[in-house]
Amino acid sequence: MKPSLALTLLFFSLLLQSCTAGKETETVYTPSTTFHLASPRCTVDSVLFLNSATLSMELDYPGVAIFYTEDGSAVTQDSRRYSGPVHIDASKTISARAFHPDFLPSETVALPLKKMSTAARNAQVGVRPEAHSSYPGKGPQSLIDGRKGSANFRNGNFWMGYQADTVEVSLAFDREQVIESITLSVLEDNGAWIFLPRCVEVFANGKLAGREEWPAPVAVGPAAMKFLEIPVKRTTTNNLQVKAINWKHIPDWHPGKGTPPWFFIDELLIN
Amino acid sequence: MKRRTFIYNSAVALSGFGAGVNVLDKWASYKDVVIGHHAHRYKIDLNWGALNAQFYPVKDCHEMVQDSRGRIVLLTNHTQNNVIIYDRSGRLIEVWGTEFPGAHGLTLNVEGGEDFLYITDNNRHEVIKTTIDGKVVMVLPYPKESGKYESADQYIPTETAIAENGDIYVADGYGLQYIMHYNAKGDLLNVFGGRGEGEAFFDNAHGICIDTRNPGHPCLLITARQQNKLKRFSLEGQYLSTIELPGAFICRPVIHKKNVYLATIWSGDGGEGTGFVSILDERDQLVSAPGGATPVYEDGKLRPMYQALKIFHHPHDVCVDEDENLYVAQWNSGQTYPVKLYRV
Repeated sequence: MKPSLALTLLFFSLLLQSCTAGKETETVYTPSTTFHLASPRCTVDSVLFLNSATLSMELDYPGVAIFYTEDGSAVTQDSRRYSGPVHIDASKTISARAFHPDFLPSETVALPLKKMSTAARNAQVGVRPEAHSSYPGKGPQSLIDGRKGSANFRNGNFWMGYQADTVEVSLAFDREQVIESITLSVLEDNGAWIFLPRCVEVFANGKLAGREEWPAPVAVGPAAMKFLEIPVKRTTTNNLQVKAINWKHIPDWHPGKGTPPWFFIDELLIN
Repeated sequence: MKRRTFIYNSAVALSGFGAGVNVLDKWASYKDVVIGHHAHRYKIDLNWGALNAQFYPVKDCHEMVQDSRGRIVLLTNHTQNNVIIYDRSGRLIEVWGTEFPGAHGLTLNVEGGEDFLYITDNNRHEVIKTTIDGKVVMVLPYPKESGKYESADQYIPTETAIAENGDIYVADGYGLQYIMHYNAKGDLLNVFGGRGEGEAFFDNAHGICIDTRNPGHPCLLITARQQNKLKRFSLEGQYLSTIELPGAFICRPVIHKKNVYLATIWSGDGGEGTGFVSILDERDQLVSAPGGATPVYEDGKLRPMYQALKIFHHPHDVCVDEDENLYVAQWNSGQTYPVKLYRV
């Protein structure tokens, strides 16, 4: 490069810098393409269901379109477009994502939905002891009705709450069933004195067929609905007993130390 | 963070200036985003007030006020410069303050023609009154005389409000949820609120202000953030009414003309990074939610609110200037500087 050309370029680059420096207080508004949409809000009447569940999705912003898949695949604008409540009649994970011509798409939200086996449909359910009068749920039979409570246990009345060393659920089927595992749908909300059981034992034909333990919590965590799965030796039976054995006392680190914890259950699934 | 991405984009545009048409075309194809609803709509300046973090760092940007000279005063809990003062364009004017590790609440009051600041420090467990340039003129320690507290640790004040007669109200939003009422000299006159069931009690009494919109009838607006409610009390501490804002975890109320502005730190179920800004009209109805879903009232009740756009992370305070532009300070948002919203 000739020195004169280099000098000329230097001159212009300095000139350019002084121009841009003089403009530094000018406001540059942010373009829409800088921002992502928030994820769509998905609500479902029941994440567990016997026949079908109804799912709705929403992101109330002009120009937003929500797309979804039912097979776990990535959601694009070539996926199915949401236009109204979706009816689901098999276990699957719904993935949804919001799109907009001006904004970046949202993160994908995934919602697993579970169709329950009909094995327990005609079972007779008994629970000992009785649920606490403040949290009676809808009675023992509601443990197999597929209707779940929400993490806000004071809303609705699907949760059965207990303060007892042992809660025993017995199921008598109308015909023999092959059992491979059972799932308890329970609530953990240590801040509200609601704890997971210490262990769960499953008896088939009067014999211990499965047992699972959970460690004692060491700090308050967020409220969460949990599925506790207990594998069972593959058994054919027309009756089951499920014993939830609770902690005797709330642990010492907790404000409720020394008193019995609560145990909350809203559903029992036979797999 | 988003801000860095944006700076990078604009740097590319500027350095590519000589290359001409392509870059300018690209620039022109950008669409300025406009957020908010009804008459309260805004363009965004993400770059406002960004400083060299090596010299003027922030941790949480907790609150902002505008002083009598039109300057924008930011309070951060970074003890290298607790107070950062900008002009309205975001240019740095000055910084001060190294002794407010828990700097949280910032209220400006004009007394005898002079600006004073009331800083609540939830680490020092006290309220500090300073001149606008940082000279301490009064300290309100934990209110032992109230009989409600066994030790200073239980008192974690988050906000102050100053009445026309100079009386000082302090909200113990992270402590025992009481509202202290002092006279201007700092003598405790009354204590009300506290934790409990019922509308006269609080869960996270995070913000407080004097509602001066009804001339001759000033009253208090106090946040119950965990309850998604704004509660109205008389200056004597009598509970009057509740404004329900389901899904909106509101910080302090800020009165400007006929409106109440509230930074909304979380929304929906209270998940991380779900904030937006809430604006109430003279009837205390949510009319605009920049960054949030469209506010809809059904049978007089607000449908639960949630975030629609990922613009804000955790808005903690809103400052409104004379042109009704907003300055949004954010808590726990990657140590970013405030965001300015220009009213359109």
